[in-house]
Amino acid sequence: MNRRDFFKIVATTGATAAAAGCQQATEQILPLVVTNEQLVPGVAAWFATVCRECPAGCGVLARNREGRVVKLEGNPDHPVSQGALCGRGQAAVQGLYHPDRFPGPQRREGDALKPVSWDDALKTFAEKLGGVKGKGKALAVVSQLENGSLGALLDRWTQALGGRPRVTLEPFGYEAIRAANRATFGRDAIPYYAIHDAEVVLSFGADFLETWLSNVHYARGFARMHTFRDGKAGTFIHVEPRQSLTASNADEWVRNAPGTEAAVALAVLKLMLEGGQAADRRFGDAVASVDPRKVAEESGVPLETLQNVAKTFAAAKPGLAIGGGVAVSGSHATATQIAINLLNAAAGNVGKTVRFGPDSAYGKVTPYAEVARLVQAMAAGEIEVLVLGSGVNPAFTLPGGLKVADAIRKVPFVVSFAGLPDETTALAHLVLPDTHWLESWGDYSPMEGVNGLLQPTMKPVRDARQMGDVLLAVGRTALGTEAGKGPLPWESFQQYLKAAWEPVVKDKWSEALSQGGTWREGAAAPAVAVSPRVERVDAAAAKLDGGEGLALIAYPSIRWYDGRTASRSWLQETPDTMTQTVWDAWAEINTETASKLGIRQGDVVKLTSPHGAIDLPAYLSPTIHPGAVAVPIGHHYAPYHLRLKYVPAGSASANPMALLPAAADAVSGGPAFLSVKVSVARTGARRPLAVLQATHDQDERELARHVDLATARKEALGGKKLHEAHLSMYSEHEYKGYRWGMAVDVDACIGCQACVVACHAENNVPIVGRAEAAYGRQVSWLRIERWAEGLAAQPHNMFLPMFCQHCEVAPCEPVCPVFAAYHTEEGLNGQVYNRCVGTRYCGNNCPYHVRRFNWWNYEFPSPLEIQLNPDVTVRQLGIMEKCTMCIQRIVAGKDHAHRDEKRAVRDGDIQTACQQTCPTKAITFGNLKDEASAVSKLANAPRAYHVLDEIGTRPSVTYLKKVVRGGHEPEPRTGKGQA
Amino acid sequence: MSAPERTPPPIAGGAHVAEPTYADVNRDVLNTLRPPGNLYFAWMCVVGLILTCGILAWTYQIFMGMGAAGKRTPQMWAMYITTFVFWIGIGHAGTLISAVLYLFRARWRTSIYRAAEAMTIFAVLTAGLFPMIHAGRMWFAYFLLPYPNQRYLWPNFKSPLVWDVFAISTYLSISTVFFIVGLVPDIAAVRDVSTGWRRRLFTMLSLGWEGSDRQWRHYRRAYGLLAALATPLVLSVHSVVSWDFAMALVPGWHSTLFAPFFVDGAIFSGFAMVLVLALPMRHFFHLHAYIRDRHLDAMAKLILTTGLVLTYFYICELFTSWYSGDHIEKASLFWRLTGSYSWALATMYFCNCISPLILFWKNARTNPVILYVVSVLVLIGMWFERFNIIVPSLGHDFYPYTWGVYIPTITDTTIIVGSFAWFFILFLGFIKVMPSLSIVEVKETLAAPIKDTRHAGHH
Amino acid sequence: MTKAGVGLAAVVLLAVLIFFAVSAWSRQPAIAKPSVQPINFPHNVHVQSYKIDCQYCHADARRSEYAGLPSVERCMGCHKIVAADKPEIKKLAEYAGKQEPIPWTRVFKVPEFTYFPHKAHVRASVACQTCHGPVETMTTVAATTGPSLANDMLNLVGFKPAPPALTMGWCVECHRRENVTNKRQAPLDCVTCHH
Repeated sequence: MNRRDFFKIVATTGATAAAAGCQQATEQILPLVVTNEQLVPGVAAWFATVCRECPAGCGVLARNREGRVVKLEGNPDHPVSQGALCGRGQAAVQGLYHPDRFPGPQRREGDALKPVSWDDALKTFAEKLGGVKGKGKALAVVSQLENGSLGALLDRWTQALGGRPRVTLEPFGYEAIRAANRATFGRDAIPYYAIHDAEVVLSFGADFLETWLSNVHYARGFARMHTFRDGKAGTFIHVEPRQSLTASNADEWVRNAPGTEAAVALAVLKLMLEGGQAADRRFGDAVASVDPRKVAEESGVPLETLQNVAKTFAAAKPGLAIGGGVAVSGSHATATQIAINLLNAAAGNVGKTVRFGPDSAYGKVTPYAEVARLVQAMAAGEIEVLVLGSGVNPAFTLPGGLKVADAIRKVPFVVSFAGLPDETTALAHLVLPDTHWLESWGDYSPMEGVNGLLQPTMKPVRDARQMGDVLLAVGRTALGTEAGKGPLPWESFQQYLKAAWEPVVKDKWSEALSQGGTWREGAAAPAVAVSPRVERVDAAAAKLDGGEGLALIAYPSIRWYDGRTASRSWLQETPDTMTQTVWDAWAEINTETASKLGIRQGDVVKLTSPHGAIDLPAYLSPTIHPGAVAVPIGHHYAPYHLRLKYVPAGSASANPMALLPAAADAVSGGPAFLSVKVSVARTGARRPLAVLQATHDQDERELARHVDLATARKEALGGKKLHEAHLSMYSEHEYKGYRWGMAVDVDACIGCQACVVACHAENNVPIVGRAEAAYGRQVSWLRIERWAEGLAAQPHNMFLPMFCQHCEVAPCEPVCPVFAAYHTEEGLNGQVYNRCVGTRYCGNNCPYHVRRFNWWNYEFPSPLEIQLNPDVTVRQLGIMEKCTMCIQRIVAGKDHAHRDEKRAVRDGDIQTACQQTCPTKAITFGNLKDEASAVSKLANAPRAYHVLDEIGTRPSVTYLKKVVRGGHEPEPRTGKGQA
Repeated sequence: MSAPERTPPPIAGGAHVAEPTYADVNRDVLNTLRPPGNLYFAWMCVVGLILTCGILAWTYQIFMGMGAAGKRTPQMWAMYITTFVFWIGIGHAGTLISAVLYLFRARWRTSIYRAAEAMTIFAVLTAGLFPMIHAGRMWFAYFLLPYPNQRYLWPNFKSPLVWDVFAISTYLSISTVFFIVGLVPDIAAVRDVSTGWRRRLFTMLSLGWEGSDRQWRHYRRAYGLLAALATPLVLSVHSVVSWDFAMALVPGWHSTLFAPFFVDGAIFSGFAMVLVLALPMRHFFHLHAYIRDRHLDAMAKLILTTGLVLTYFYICELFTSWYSGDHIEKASLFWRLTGSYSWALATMYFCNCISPLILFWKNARTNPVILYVVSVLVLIGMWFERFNIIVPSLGHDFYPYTWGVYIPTITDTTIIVGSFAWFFILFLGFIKVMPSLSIVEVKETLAAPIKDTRHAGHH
Repeated sequence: MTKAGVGLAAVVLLAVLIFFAVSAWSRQPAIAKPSVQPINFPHNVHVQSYKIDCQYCHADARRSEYAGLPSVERCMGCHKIVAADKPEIKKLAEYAGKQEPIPWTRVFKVPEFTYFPHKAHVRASVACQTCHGPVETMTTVAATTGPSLANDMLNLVGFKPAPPALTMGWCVECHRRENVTNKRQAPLDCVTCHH
């Protein structure tokens, strides 16, 4: 199909969508040149492809309107994402329409990159390649994790030109897990963890709800395992020195001293054996030398806690122990992993919840040690041509001790395929912008047995060319062969891809395309039997150089991964759930430690390690280990963030990688993330953080409520109904057709913020920037609140997604002088933008403060306006707006059901954007008038409650209380906290 | 002020000033209409300058958006509504003096009611600007007007803001008519002495008044009738305005106390404003013979009384929130007392409860300086009362996530100050075109030079 | 000095009036003048002489929010042969030759904040002419639609002028009439069209 033609329409639709409410100039309509039945203007076309924002490889569907992709959704058929998508995936379209994307190829002239024609660019590239051809190892190719056709082509290409073996650069390679599995199971692989089948999950710093391996897939598994359903709920115990998002979802968060995970794991194993709970005694030898008491002292974890953990874990049928989160992997990483392997083996989980066979693609990542070797070769001047694929940014993502930038400067010719300017393209001699993955052909296999297929979902936004095509063309020129002959005979990468898939799909190519790839039933390859080799494990804590100071915990964040997604303004404006901070990175320091050092919140502190120093504002937290300071990895601003004053000019971003040493961990060959102590000193400057949540203490208002497991079970089995008596002078609303409502399970919500980003994408929610957000002017329709109860140092967190409650007795409706806020015939709280005068009375009178006001005219910097959803009005200044329960989707759903299928809307026909993307299915939407609908059932469930119901607003949004597991009963400051 | 050529009455105010004759009245009142001196021009320039800044600030806000004003979530209302309520309040004293006191035949009103009425109208004209200034899209403000239109839409009559539209427009129209009717005989008097364009203008405005018997009879009836019409407004208008808050959910707003509370406060601040305007007039125009100490004394007493009543309401407010036992209500109250805005609350208590107490002392009630200071304090206090109702209550309401503190910006501050300039420019203009004392009614209070049954026995 | 006072009052008043005017004017939809169309397309010939159904060219009307315009390819379908020698058709052939779309000027347009699905109305068998007027008689379509300040003013002073074509009142009137006379369920809920 001819995408060029579709794209022509964009010019008009895009431009006018942004001009809503303002003067409309005379417009042109550009119809297609050639009729295309596949794409009807005004009707969305969906293209299946694979998300490449991180190596998890979730399947996605791209919603294409008038030739432009406006929204991404998880592919429901895909075994990894199962319909869900994380915030980073949702924000991928902002990478596609990124204002800073290279307009075309660039060549370095002096110290600036200057535009150059493709022909010239390719000529230069070919010449350089001709120069190094056959010169042994002078050509190096670095790409992100590409285990599909592109990877194969790259290897073939490199080989043909006589380069070094390709390096697959992923900053988070989890080498320790592979090393441990080599040692214990004799298998160099990262297995599939069946979290959903476990009764008890024991995690040693594995942040599987944020970045670990496959956060969407494991979040979904976690929900199945952990969320309270029919009286049953699993238990999750997490060991980590700081309360990460994952930790705060644990029923029991165990705070250990940094670097003591191995010891703790072994102690648990030992106690299991002593308790006689573990199946076989062979494991006794492994932990013979371990003394739980000593471990308790070193790790600061009380012995009783260790015993409880051991008891709970051993009792699980089956349980699952996981570990090796980036933040906790230091010199002890491999030991920890082996200990974990032994725990699983001893508890008989291997083969049940730990499955080799459907191995993770992460197993194919080039170990960091080899990456370091390549960098040394560069520094030594052995490399003459360096080819960097898209998605890699070594100058930013590799440890500062490695001095990557200096090394790259030593390379005479550096070619980058990056689409966006970054720290590495700043060093490149030639930039050949690759197409965004939404514009590209390709394939990717996140785990054995799952092969995802990528296809272009629209015409390239910029003058970019697909890396595969460029390599084929240039390779042929360099080799002096022409198409059809030689080692690189293929016309285009598309052709190569088809050829590669031919044996697999045969004539089912188009089916595979429309499905988004091929995979076996039951998601993955069958498990392979393995037998553990038992050996002594060194329980020593991680070695931290840098002498005095605080242990640096550099952790990957759910919003920025290794930094590749930090340039999306949606992710910058979406708060970090734990700190509720936007548009910044911070150094998390324990409150007591800070008071000793005289540091207040918002003071800029200098973190100095033997390998570098960075300045960051301090965030004081009572939860983090007093001996540690934690910094999120990968924060940096895109040029346009500064240009548009989203952040004050000159706001520096800081990446803790700069503080880390070059040396790889000897045992695993992975980078040592937990390996330095840093000195923390005030610089005197202040940079108050933009924190959206005024307080995490809900002041006895029972906004987020919880119930203990026993009660919940009793009520669930007893089927107690929620009854609310309503006294009212006014007659009830009558609903002829539907009555829409939603239900949110607080027990399922993990606070990942995916829904918030999805809402931005679906509803054209503008970006306001740091200062405005800090001043309570963020426009986001949906927010995830964190409410903490219990002890300050060990708080019990509840995540409350808060958005318009669509009250039956809505305080906003009667006060609006012009009926801009009114009650619709289907029970919604309508908000008519074009009727709104902007008195903001409704905003005052809304007890939930979920109404958002357009304080200014917010801009959508070109070409981001192309992403705007054509079904949703773009709001002008002076207008009040809020969650509409995705009214445009309701209208579309009714239109489809009533007109195309001549039937009423069924349960599940309509999904709101937040519900659709939620990895834990915490949100349900439906018709409250239909007793059988999922939402009605939840609305009448025993755990159901309404936020601030004592006011009598009678929301259409029902919340379900969080279920607090036994053994971890939070003590609320008053009895009232107990709902 | 250029002194009039005929020797003015002794400046030393007080009871011992000689009762003026009819001739004096005409002379003195008409004196106020002489071509203004430099001082007057100086004032006009200053006020005009400030007003211009205000208009510029407003224009900037309209084009940039409400973000230019310091509002935010949760304080979506702040200083604009504060000042709106403040001005509505000011207006009240005028109607009270001219209508209510007229019906009660309180004769001391005669010398001040003209100024008070003018003040009312200008105050309402100023207040009327604020809903426009405050609206996010003021160019659509006409959506609030109930008229059949091509959209087939009406305003929401449930909304207190729509009630405001009616309350204020009614108030403005009635008091304007009342004002004009009261002016007719005086305009005639002015007409008789003025020349040139002024004479032509006043001839037109005086509606052919000759002061004949019939005219007087009809005039009295009309005036009494209008007074009767205006009286309920004194209570209704500010009650309606108070419902903007009382009808809302916000803790600290949602109270049945508000209507009487606001009305009393309005009268309180209104009289303060009357004094703020009348004292300088009396000084610069040498009107000691007309605005006498007993007038000051009477007004001071009213301020004192309403002040004490207000104090009582404050106590009620505190008590009810505490006694309600409602956690959220109490939290809000506690924060108002101790939180970021406690200073504003302290200012209010001092200005409105403490400072008027000095008026228990008789000499203070007749001492212009003390009266002036107290009045200014009262005005400040009453502005802060509205501020304290709106801003802190919103800042600490139901939802802890969004609790926050409002910080004013240059733009909204300039607009607020500009609104005062707008009021004063209107008033300054007025005292030079119209007799700011009622010639007729002042005369009525004097001993008639010749026995005139028609005039005397009347009251 | 009174002059100055009056002057300043005037300034404020003027400002207010200007904003009224601007806002009313800004809500005016684009109005096409016959001359601005790149090709002088005579609807009357196509509809009356050749009896071509509206939806033959505006093929998306029954399945999409937009009615859609025919692709150059579809025009050429007939005009390869039919009247190929006419100057206007030569223009068309040029576009086809260059493989470029014809930059038609938009005539009918509801504001961005209004969602008007052709599908719903076509499926409800509403005649195109109901909204677009007697297009079949027009040589080149032109229209003046949308709200007008004049209409508001007339209403304000007590007259009851009928709402202009494609204004909200006009839509509402039709929906109400249909619901009463033909027992349809034409929605009258604001958010159906404004979201």
